[in-house]
Amino acid sequence: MANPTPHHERLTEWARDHARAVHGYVRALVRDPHAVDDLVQETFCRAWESRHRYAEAGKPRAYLLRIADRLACDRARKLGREQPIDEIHWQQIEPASSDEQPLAALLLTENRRQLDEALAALSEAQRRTLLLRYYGELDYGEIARIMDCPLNTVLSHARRGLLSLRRLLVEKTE
Amino acid sequence: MSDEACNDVERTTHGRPLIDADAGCADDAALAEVWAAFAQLLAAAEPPVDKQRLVARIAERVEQRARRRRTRASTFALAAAAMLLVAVGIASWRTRATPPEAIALADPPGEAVVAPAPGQAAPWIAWEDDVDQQAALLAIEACTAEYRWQHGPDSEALLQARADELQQEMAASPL
Repeated sequence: MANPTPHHERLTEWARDHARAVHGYVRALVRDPHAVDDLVQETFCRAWESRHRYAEAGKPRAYLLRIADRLACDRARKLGREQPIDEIHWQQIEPASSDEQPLAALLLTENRRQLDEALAALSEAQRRTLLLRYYGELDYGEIARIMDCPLNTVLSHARRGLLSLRRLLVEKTE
Repeated sequence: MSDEACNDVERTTHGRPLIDADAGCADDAALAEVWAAFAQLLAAAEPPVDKQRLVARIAERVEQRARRRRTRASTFALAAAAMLLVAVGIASWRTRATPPEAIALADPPGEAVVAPAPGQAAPWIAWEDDVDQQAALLAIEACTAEYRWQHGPDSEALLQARADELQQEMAASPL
């Protein structure tokens, strides 16, 4: 077998270091586990195919999340679901898998239900902002570049998103 | 959000609150609490990822695409070669299939048919050959365009070289 090229090594390294973040990000945006797997693989494939254009200066995780974000947005557009919707409609449009897999079992936990509820309370932009912040470990400037909008808009999304979550996560428990 | 709070937000790193509680703003401090709760939810819901399987699946997927691309390229190459052969074949057949009677009838009355000098094409054949060459060159041009789109500059150069070669062969072939 041929020695792995630097590109192969880079792909493996990316998968090792960032697969969890990419998977988590896509998982939070797309609920169908099969679609999640597909999008995560597609993200790394796209990264691989455009490896010659990848600028070393950027953060690999930001690069991968940018691809994942676009794929997830494209998928949402194809499904005709661009507007934020409530939890009930979300379940109807994209029900969680009923497979008896560990992942599906996780979906059934209370924690998962609470997270789904929290994510459903956010608009698409708010959700993307907070998830990119969490999974990407990105600063808001990078998030603004990924989302292709001004920094202040991103800050506004973050703040409004957190205010929505406060009603759900903090005030509810008080 | 105040400017100061925004700056604090920009300074924060992963693992620290989204909104710095030291910003001096009670609202921002409350949001930091929300962020911590949200991050906790996300962390608890993260499923384990089988990275080895993922890498294997990616490699398989990349290989599948490369294979499909190669198949398409081969199909295009065969199609282009077939088009070239057909174009050259038609040109050759039309030149050779012109019957002498038709040539005689086509000559204007009163003008003698002059035999061409050795190594020189007869005028009627030269005319036919010119038309056929144009048709063949158009076909070559179409193939070249397809190749340019499909294979990039290297294949284009190869095909262009072949086209030039064919053009020279056709220019020399009728007689």
